[in-house]
Amino acid sequence: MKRFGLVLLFLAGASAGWGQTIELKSGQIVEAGGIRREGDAIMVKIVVGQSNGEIGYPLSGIARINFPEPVVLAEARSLFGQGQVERSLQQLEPILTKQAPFRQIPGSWWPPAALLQARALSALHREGEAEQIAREIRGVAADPEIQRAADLQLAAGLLRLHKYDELAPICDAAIQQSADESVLAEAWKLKGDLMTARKQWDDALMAYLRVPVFYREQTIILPAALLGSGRAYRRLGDNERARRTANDLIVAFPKSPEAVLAQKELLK
Amino acid sequence: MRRGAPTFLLAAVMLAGWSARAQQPSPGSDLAELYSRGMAEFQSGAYSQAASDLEALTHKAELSAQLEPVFYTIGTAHFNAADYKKAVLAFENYLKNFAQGPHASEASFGLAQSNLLQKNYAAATAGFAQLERDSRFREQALLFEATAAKEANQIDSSIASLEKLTSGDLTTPTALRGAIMLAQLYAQKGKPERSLGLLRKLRQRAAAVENLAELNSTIVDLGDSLYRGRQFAEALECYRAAFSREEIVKRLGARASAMQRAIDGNLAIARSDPSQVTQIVAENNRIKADLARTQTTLTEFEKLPSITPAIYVRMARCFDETDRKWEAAVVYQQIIDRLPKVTEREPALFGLILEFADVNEAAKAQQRCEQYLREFKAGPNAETVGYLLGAMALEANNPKAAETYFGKALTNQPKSSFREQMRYLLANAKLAQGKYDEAGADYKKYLNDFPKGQFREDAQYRIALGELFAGKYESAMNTLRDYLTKNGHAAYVTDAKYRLAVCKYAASLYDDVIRDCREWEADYPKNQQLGEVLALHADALAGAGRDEEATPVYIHSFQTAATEDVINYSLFAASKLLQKKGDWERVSALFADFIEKKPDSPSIPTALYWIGKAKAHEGKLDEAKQITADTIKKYINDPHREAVELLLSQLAQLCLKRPAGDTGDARVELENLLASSADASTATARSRILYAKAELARLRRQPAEEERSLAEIARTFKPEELSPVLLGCAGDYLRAQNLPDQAAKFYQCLLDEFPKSDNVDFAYAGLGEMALTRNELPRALKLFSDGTDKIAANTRLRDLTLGKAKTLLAMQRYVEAKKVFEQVASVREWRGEATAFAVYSLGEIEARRFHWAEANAYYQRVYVSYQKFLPWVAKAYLHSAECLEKLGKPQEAANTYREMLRNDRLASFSETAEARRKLESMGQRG
Repeated sequence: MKRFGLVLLFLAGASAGWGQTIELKSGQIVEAGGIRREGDAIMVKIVVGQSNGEIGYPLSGIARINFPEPVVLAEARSLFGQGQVERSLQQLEPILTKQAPFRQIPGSWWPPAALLQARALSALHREGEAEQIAREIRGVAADPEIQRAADLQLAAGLLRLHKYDELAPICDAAIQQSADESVLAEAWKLKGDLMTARKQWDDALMAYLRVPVFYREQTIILPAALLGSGRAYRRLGDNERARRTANDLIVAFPKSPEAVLAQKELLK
Repeated sequence: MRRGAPTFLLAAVMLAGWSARAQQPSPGSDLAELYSRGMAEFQSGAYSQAASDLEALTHKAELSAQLEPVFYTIGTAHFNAADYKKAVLAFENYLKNFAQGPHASEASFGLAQSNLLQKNYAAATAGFAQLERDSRFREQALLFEATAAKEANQIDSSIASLEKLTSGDLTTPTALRGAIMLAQLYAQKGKPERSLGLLRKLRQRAAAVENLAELNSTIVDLGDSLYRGRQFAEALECYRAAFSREEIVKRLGARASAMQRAIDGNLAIARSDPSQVTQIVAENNRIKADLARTQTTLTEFEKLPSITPAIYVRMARCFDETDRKWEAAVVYQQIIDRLPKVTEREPALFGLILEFADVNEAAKAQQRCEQYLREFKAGPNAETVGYLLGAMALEANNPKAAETYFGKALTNQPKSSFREQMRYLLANAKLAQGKYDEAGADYKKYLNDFPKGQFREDAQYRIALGELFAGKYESAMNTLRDYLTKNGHAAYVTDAKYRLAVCKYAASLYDDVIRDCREWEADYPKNQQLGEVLALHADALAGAGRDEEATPVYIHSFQTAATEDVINYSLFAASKLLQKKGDWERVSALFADFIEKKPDSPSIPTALYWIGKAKAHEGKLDEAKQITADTIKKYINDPHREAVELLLSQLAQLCLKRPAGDTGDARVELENLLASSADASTATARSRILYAKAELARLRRQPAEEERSLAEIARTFKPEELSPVLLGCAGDYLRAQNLPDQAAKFYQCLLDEFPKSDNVDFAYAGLGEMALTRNELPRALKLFSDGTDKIAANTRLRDLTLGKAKTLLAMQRYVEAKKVFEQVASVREWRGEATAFAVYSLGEIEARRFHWAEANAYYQRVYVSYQKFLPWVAKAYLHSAECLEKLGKPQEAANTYREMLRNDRLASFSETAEARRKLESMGQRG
């Protein structure tokens, strides 16, 4: 076992020192200290003796670029989870700018960062901007989970247009196909919203509760799901459980806008 | 206790020793021979022979430093041969001879381990405690020390050692293993919060845990132990922390991939820098060995069945035990949705039924019961489910469905252990549906099938109830008397005596009723039913014309009644008698007493309304206004207090009623009273003040003014700010203005926010009419039907019934439509235009079915009996004449047209012009 510990150490060292690796379609792995996009090529910095230079790799030959995960992305998620949505958006700006040239390349952090941005904009009721970004993500993301998440962002618009019959299959498809907890949580929350719009309070409750029961680490979605479940309890005439849910929400996410609404609607 | 690790360690040390010794010449050939043989045997795993040969060597050779590794190897060989007794002796011998020898620590460690394995815990603990100071052995010593203490049942000592071991960041496999053990011990010691803390830490370090399956098993075992100890919330935390099979496979796979990447990365470095090849090859060999182990674990784990369903069932049970019934339902639902073929499906489906039943979701529970019986017809819970189906339907007040379910279950599950209950409940279901004769027959069948059954007495009693409800009073009296004779002290005696008195009341035997009720009251002065019995007593007194005596008995009734229904019945019955007498002072006192005795009753605003009305009758107008205004002030901000609108109407009426000579303006007075009494800071209050103004305008017959106020309510306020009455008014106003989308918002809000309001029928009627206008017939029918059948519609029952009839007619469901129109036409209270329209529509139904004579009869009834309602009269004349033409009676038709043309009041109707044309086309004059 000690040997395994050494291996981890070795990998950690490699990652810190080399920045990112490019996996070519040929199977070759290229360690890249600094990279940039130029047209249809990725330029990699190299050092030969005392001289610096660049080697270009055509995009068509690149399978994936393994970028290290930007630390600020986790911070942005955390801020969002604490209800500091504006600050979360600010944190995302540099990642989005830096990763934008690589956004269609597998391994890029642009799609997940943009997805978080879309969710944040949606939470701030800037739905139009959120949908525009979701469309961009849909156009470039290769990861099917990111595609599903973008679909859900776009589907939220159908709810506002009362196109419930179109929205339902999108939620169900994500629930059936996804293995990503954030996508599943989003899909169940949206399904809860759909059932609420259809005034099927018991089905709405069953949908919302999937989030705290199975995906409680999805703190970006959890407050909305809790608020939804509290409202559904109230509609079902179960005021005690509505109050209990409101209290859980207020304790866990005191700064979230959902906590304010819960205080106002469910604890009055 | 794991043996693998120490064996490996000792063998490794031994090989190092061997390697060192092999390069030294032996002192003699025999000894060298023994040495070489012993070492070879050790290397090949023949530990007993190795020990024997090396011991022979030590006996032959003189004790010297050169023999130090041999002495150590003897101990190791015995240990590896699992002969711990000899291992103890050998390690002790080594330490006696080489207390400072190079393998002294290893020997001490081997000695302590041998003692542990021999269950000599005290010696083992002491040995490991010594080794704690040696950094090379510290972690393992602490782990084994804890193991020894645990085996010796010294849990606190064990915990102390493990706390030392896990005080850091849990970076080594030994520390991680220690943490798992510590979590188990905390749980054993009743410290679940500490267990959970450690488990959370372990979960975060999952990537470093060598055997995730073992950690998972510990987590689940800990959860089970907490569950058994009824620490459900903590158990739930454990189950939620468990990894799914897929997660473990994914993590192991990721680990294997990371190792492969490391190997590839190393090879890339070797290619670019050949000077590192030797070092990298060694490194890669080590990684490859780890990779092989991980892949073996992964392959084995993939063969295991998923633990997820079992974990889910446990989670659901924890949710259930902590009163998170809906969450439990969600977990069971997840099993059913996502894991269709697992053995836990049956308990999950059954659990889901119970959870839905617990949260009063009868329809969902019934659906799942039906699913259960389809999927698990012979399942372990099939009988219970069969019974539950009917029982839940009965509880959901759906006796028709209950009858079907119990009937099916009794047929399909003839040996069900719930047969007795189902037979009894089947009769109850029929009784609840008013099938009194069938219910009576079923109770008798129950008594016949289960003469000693647990519901014997109930069945006997309910037979009497069935007769009573069927109006067979004489028979009911006999059965009740029989019941009372046979069951003098049974549970239903008080009720049976009361019911007997009810039968006598039905037979107008008032004196008997009065006597029985007095006896009842004397026998059961503290019985909960006293309020009802007193109400019956008062009814009998009133029936006997003894109003003066009846009034205090009604008052006593509302004071003692246990239910809101009886309270309201007796209170208002007393009030009616006093009003009949014109005793408004006592009316006022009666309601004042009610308010004092029942200050939390929802009927308080209504009581205050009556006080105000009584004061007005007494001529105490100012007092009446003040009481009404004060009451409004109290409740005006609460939209749920629906009597506020009643009070506002009353206040408007009071302001309008002015004493002779008072020339003041009612509107100004109303505004002043509301301004002084109402807190107009909320939207609800402001909207209600507007309503009061609209009411005043209505009373003064100022429709433009009334409409202005209603328009302001509808256009200025959001639906969520209004009370039920105002939502209904606003909806109706907007609908009349042909603004259906806006009207719908108010109706919908009324429906959603106040589903139990007395005024919710406004929403059903309004939305129904709009659906009918848009030709959304099924939706219209549902709204009207819900309005007439599901809610106790009050204000708009007539409109709802008419709407239903119109919709059925539009759907060409003539037989049903006829029935409903006939109903409208027969209600005395609805006499008026609704009746004219209903009778006319009955004619339409017959005409559409080419029943000309029947149609004509209805049309004639309209223009003969309902002449006030000209639009219907005009239509009826025209259609009557048309019917006569169809019947081949042209002269009678012409006469009808002429009669119509003679009616000056119909001159402006288009039907009259049509009649004139028809007459002319017949070649006749008007």
